[in-house]
Amino acid sequence: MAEICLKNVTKRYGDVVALDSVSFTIRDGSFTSVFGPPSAGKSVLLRVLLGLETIDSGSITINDKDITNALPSERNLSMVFQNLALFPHLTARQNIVFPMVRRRAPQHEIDKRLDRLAGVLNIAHILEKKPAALSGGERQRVAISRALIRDAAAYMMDEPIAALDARLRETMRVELKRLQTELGQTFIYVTHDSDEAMSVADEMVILQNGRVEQVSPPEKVYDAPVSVHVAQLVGTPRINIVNGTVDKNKIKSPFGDLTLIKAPSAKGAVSLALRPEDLTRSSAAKAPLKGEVSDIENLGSFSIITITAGDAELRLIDNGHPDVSIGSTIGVDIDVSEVMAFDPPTGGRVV
Amino acid sequence: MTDVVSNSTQASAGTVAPAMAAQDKLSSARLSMAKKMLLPTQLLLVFIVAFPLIMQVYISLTWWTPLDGTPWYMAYLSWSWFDNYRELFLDDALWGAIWRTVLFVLIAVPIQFFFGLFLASLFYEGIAGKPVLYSLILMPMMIVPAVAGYIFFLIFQQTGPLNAIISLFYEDAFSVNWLNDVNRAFIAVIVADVWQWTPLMFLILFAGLMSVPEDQMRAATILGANWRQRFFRIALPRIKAVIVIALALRIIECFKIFDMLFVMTRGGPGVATESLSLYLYKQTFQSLEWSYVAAIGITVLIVLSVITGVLIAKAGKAARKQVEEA
Amino acid sequence: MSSITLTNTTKKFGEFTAVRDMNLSIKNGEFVAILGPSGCGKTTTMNMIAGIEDASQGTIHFDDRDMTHTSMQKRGVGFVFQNYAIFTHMSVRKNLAFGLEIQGLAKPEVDRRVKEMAEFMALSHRLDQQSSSLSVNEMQKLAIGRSAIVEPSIFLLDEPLSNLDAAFRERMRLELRELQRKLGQTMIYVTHDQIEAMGLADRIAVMNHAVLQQFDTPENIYAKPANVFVARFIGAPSMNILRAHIARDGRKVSAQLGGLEADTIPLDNRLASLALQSGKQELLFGFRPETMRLADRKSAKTFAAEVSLVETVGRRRIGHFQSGLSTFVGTFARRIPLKAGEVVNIELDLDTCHFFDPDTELRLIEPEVETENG
Repeated sequence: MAEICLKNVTKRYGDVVALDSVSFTIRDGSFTSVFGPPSAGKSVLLRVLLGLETIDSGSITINDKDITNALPSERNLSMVFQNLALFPHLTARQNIVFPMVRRRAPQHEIDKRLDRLAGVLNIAHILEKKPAALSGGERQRVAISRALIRDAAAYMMDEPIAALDARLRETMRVELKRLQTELGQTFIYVTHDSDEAMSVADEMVILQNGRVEQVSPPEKVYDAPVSVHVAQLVGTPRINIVNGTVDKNKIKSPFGDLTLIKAPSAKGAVSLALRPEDLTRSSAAKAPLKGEVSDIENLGSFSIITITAGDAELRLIDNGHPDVSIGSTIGVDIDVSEVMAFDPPTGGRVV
Repeated sequence: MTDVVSNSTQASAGTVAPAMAAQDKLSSARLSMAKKMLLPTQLLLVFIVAFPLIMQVYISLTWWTPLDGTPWYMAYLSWSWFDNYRELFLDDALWGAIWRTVLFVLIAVPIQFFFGLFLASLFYEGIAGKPVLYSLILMPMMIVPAVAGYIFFLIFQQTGPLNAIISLFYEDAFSVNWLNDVNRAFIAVIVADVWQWTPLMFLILFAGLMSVPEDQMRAATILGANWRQRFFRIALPRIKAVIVIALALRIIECFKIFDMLFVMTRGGPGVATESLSLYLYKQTFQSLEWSYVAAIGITVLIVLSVITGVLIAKAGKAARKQVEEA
Repeated sequence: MSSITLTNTTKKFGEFTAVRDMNLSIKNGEFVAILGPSGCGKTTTMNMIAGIEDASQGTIHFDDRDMTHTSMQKRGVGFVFQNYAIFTHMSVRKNLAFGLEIQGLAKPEVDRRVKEMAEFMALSHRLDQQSSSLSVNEMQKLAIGRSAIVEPSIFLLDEPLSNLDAAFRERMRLELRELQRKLGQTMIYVTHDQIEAMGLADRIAVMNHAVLQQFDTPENIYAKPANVFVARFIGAPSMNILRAHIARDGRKVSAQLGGLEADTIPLDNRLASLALQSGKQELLFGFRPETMRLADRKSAKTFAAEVSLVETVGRRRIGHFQSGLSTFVGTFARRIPLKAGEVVNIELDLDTCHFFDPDTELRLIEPEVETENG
């Protein structure tokens, strides 16, 4: 049980700044996902928290105790590695209880904890098997159990389910979420998959180029991204970014003008950001945006329609059977409260 | 941080952030510890390599021979500076031996290379009976060179199996004395060397070919490239580094050839197959001019080092390029 | 351009059967995705078409030419490898020119086509660089360009997008569709990602355990899955498949989900006749998460379920429900409130629900459309 606090943590490798003055707090009992594109500094952050890397400046505290220079063994943090690192010569049970046996915990205590985990993670039937005899998902659960069996201040996971296939990933992320809710422990979860990060977390820490871009609950990250980078990182399909110009309370775009409720603070050129799932098709006559259909991608329960105007592209989500054809012109509507715009040079939010 | 005693000066810099200083302290302490642990091994290594070398150089600068009746360290009594080195430049017998050795290398190594490459490419494409052939091809390499020499000594006898087999295709009995003729003896020892060392060449080149990504060869095939085009455009350029290493290895080894020749011909007839090593041997044990031999040894060492250095630098460059490409 | 026909094609590796009795007929100019989990035989199928693997049994025809025993060098297919297999010891230009030079084309012709292809693939500025210096995204374009430049009649792609990051994958899906429209070649695309298959292909061949499960248009694969495997594999989250006990009360036929009377839903005519025709008491009942609706109040059409967990992903909410002994998933718009622990009334869109035979796992189909689906 712990509140972990990072203050201005900086880590350099030669000239490369892996973490650039990173500050945020992980609340006790929260499920925090650290999310960012590849090489944003996510794994370095975990390694720094675990004490596997020393930092160049800044401080890390757990429950107000400074652990900046503490050895990994003094930090009491538990970790699930991406490659699982199970011992192939031990059974699932031996693998799981390994951290407890190593700490010379009493047998009844070990049994009690193992029973509980086996129940929650549904692994009671595979405890006597060796890792080679287990499926990918089962191995994953064994690795997670091994990390969870001991009392740690927090449990860290570095893309723990990235190696599994899509179906299993969906199931496992729900199981992890359920597990964390039941155990009430602090989980820190590193991932590059935005859906996964949004789905499991109470709080998202978004890293980009070693800097913290935003720390918010997932819904807020999605609804109110602080920068155009964050807006582009979350949500599938990717958010549409279209060049626009602010003219009083209107934003002009190649697809047409959007009238906002109140005039934005910014002037001149902006990057208009519209989520594909917020755009709806409507009759061309009265819709604020219009464009020529250039691509239709039917994905079963929904489809993605791409419309173009000049060089600009706009993608929108439609139902599974859109009655439009390539080359035709369609109208697109949006709830103006969902319109976002960013300042092109800084990437900061202006609408 | 654990308190490690360190005599590093970096830690004293007051402006450095504490974490960084601590890390430096730790790593420099580790470094000095590592140095201490390595010292005994390094000393032993220096002794093993340096001692014979220094002794060799020392003797080569004298006229000392064991016939003097003085121990080797007293060789300074007949100090001669570079007379031995001057002499070796004028020694026709030595130059003859060197010339024959170079000729031997220039003929034998390319033959081994092309045979080896040919076999490796056959194996790479996959031929029938691969496992059996594989062990069969590697067998000569496992035989002690002296024994191989003896085998070929028997084969090339006037009444030996080679002549007997050739006779089957002739009206008259074919009876050539291979090892007694100047040119034939040279051919015979080359044949023996090729027989014994083509397998090594094959092994290295085959390993090189195996490292060529299979998908690239397939991609080339699907684009319509035939066996020859795939081999010359994809495989060969990708194993340049391996080829250089294989050639360097064989050139160095071949230059030192001794035991096989000793058994087959003892350098004869006359000096027709006398290699540099054989010549040195004769000087050592027949003329007993040890200081002269030492001078030749040092000269050969220097020349070979330079050649090898150039080759290894080339191989290293090719290898680095390959790593970058991968 | 040519059509591809696989007839009873089987591939065995020793005891292991990688592909069993495959019958597949791909039309001229069609874009077909072979979709399945890892180890299902999809790559082996493609390798047999390319000639990288020989078929153990059966035949492969391009148009009416028997290609079963033609070497891969002579099949004239384009192939994009998963790891791209770029000739990293050559420049980008040399890579593109490789196929044309092999064909022995004159240099001006080669140069002209290389230039064209480089422009089409947006690689012009990279032409004289060593190909090992390209980014993954550019390597992929180079791999496609190198195959496309020889204008093969058949184009095979082995999971070409699996090494790319998510944002670029979306972009490349669009570009691949464009490419196929422009080139008009017969394309076969192997993937384990159902979104890619749905988004790209004219028809999808779903494989599992070496056996072709279904070969149909994306719409039909989604709406009329042949069996439980296909139903679960297509769509995210996957289709809910629950055990159902069929109860009959006079003319009314209903399904008790999880065998519980409390979770009884009345069936419409289509489902009722399907259930009755099967003659079985126990069936598998399948419905997609996205077809569920939360009803304001309890009615004959609804059944109650407890919300056990809620995930929020963008504008969507994924609800995990518990009802009696069964658990299932539903997706909703985020504006619909959903809290863990509350009990809600769920109404299903019966038109999109399916019955599966619990023994064969095949979907029960109406007799009149049986011939259509084969």
